Amino acid sequence: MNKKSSLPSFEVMEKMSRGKKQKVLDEQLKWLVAYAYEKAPATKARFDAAGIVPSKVSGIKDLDSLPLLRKDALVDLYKANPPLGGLVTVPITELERVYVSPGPIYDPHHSSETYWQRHVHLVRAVGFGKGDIVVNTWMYNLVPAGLMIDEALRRAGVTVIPTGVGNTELQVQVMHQLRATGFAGSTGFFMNIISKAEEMGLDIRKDFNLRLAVIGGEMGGGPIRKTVEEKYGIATGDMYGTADVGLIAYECNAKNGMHIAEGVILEMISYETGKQVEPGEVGEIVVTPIDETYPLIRFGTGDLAGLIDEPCTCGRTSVRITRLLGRVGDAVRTRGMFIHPRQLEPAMAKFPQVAQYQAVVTRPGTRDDLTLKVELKTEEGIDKEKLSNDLNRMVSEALRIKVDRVEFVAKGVIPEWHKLIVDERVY
Amino acid sequence: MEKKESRPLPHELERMVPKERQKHLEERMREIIDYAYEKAPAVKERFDKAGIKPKDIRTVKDMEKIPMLRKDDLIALQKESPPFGGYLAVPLDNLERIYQSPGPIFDPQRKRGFGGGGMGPDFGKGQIVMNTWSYHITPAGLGVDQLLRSMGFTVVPMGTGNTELQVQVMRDLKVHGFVGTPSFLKIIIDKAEDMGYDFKKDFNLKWAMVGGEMGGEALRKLFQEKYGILCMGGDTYATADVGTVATGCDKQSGMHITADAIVEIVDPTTGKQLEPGEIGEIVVTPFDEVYPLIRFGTGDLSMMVDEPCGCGRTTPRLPKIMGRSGEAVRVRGMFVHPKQTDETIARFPEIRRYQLVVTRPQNRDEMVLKVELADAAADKEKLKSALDKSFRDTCKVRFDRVEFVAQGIITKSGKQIVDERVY
Repeated sequence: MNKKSSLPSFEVMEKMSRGKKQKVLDEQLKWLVAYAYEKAPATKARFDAAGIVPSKVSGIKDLDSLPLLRKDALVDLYKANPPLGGLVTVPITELERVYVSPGPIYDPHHSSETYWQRHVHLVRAVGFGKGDIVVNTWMYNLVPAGLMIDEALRRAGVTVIPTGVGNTELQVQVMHQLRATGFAGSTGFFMNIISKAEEMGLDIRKDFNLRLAVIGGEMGGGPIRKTVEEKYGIATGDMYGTADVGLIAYECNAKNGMHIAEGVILEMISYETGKQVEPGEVGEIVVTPIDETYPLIRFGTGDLAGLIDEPCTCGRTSVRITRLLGRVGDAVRTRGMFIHPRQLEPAMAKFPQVAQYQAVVTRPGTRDDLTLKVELKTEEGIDKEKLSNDLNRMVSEALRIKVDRVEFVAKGVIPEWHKLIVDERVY
Repeated sequence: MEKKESRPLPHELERMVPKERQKHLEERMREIIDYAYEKAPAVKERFDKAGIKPKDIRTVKDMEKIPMLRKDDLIALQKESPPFGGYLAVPLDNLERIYQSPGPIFDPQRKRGFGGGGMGPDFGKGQIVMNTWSYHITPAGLGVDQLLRSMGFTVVPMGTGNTELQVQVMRDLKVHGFVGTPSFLKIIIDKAEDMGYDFKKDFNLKWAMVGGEMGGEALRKLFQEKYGILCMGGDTYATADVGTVATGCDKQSGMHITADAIVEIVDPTTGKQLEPGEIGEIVVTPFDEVYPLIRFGTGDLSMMVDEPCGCGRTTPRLPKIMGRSGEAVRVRGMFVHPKQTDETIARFPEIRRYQLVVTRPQNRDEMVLKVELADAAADKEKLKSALDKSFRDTCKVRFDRVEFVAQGIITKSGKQIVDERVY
């Protein structure tokens, strides 16, 4: 079978009438389903289990009875069929890179042209292009985020400074000295850098050359973005994606919600009824990107958003969604990374002296704060400082984000039936 | 700069009769000098100041006429004329990436990056490699990543740290190769053994490409003899400024110098070229159209070995890196410069004097910060953690501990960084 998907140029796609676009995407879906069924055993198994015959699929509506592929199921598939879960269409050694996401899930590096066509189009639509110097603060190690955005930006003609996360002071210096025009990263980290710059005596408006900050990864960024725009005179933009499928939505200049990227089939599924929601309602973002390396069909992101149907003033015809409104499952997106009880459990299992524990996410200012509450079996003979350091280190390593503090609590503070990670953030 | 069709490729050059190769190298040297003189204002300035013209440089011996460019000079030039101090030979917006290395010093992404030492594009087909160089800010991780992918390897971009995860990934993915510092590989193996694995049986690690720190020989021997890990290329020598300078071979007889640069060994004080067998500073002129740093003094010491090697390459070799000519010290693969440490310490008025001591117990660089307080009443714990953070930010490498010492232990004229490592 032909190993290539082919879509019209995305400059054409973005202006196409909804009806016509639907036809183009349905054609591609037919091809993708047949291809994935043939090349990816786990996809074949999903289809067989749901009793769906690929040759009878003529559009996304024919896949209603295919259960969503959620992150949890994905982790199970990866465990059952290592290393790539039977979901990738090429052997592992044909991939340019393999990433390591929490689970661990070994995400393949996407190499299909459609995937990069989508990403280049998307970062340009957000406002980046030739002549820009962008500080990319997403993490380059392990997870796909940093390297994916790096490649998309470079393909769009941008000069990238690959700073990654951390080293706030250095970030300020680099941004200042290289006269960076753009920033990509989480909202919280951007604000850290801004306050550090001010602390160092720099005037953001005068001393920086920042034109556009594309900040996302956390919910409730609204008021912060207003500050960034009004106080500092820096335009803001937003991109949305996941480690599994890459970037799938972006905000245009009109800032009327996020456009679904071209080359992605969107469904918004009610987590109560399992059916597509009406415009104006909230549903889970479910996507089927046209991507032959890693064809995830009906991937349930677990993220909730509202569906917007009205045309956008920018002239693009794509469907839009609101900002993220929450999570379907238990994983809590903190400082842009999903943290899941699954990661916490094995780390805590190494501490037999701990009776109960709970990770609590709050948001005292503009940054997600993570406290690990710990109840000890007995306090006798315990070096609390050492234990606290060990816990902090192990759990930070397991969750891939820094625990802000370990708090020892008395018996009863953590209820017997409790969630391992609670989200107490108020926006 | 136009490439001529008939030109030999790097791996062909590396196998040529030395005299023949020299002709090609000198031709390219003249080209890069003409090109740099025209496109990079700082090169023209350096030539004009020395009263020389590109046409005066016909042979490698003539290179001695060009004053060396030191890292410190480059740092100063970059400050004066940011970001690249007049050495960038292409428009800024043509660059794919800009990196920053300790100094601070900016590095553009070059076309000629980290060369593979004459291995072809299919060399890595079918193999999975863990790249544990840091992908952030400095060019090491991304440069090596690009090189490995160009050779057909599948790369797992691990970065440093997360030892337990490194063990898990190495096992889960049946990783064939490891790239990083020898001491980090040792840490991973130790961790795997702590976790109850039999490294030789439970892992599929066939080879390692290790470098970036001095004294890797003992560890390489251990990897090969105890664990059957082939230390590919013995060692690789590269710097952030000029990319790969020399790569080892399977004969492990030292590192062959690259064929896409002019590499000289010179007397650090006079800049005059030394004979094979004499120890001097490694000076590099990469054939690089993006960032032509002509006669860049690396500050690293070595010597040239000219005897033939059984691997088939006819290029001269550097047996190993023998130290630093300047004051910067390479710790766990990162240069720490007194300028950076001075700048960091200056933020702590409660400190009167300091000295950073680097030792190497058990094959790992250890860094101890000795501190003499101006204010004996200072909160030591608070100071420690503030120092730790500042150091990590500015030097990108952490010290292992702080020692508060009495007055007089650190002398006023003492060096800020002392290298006491014994290999």
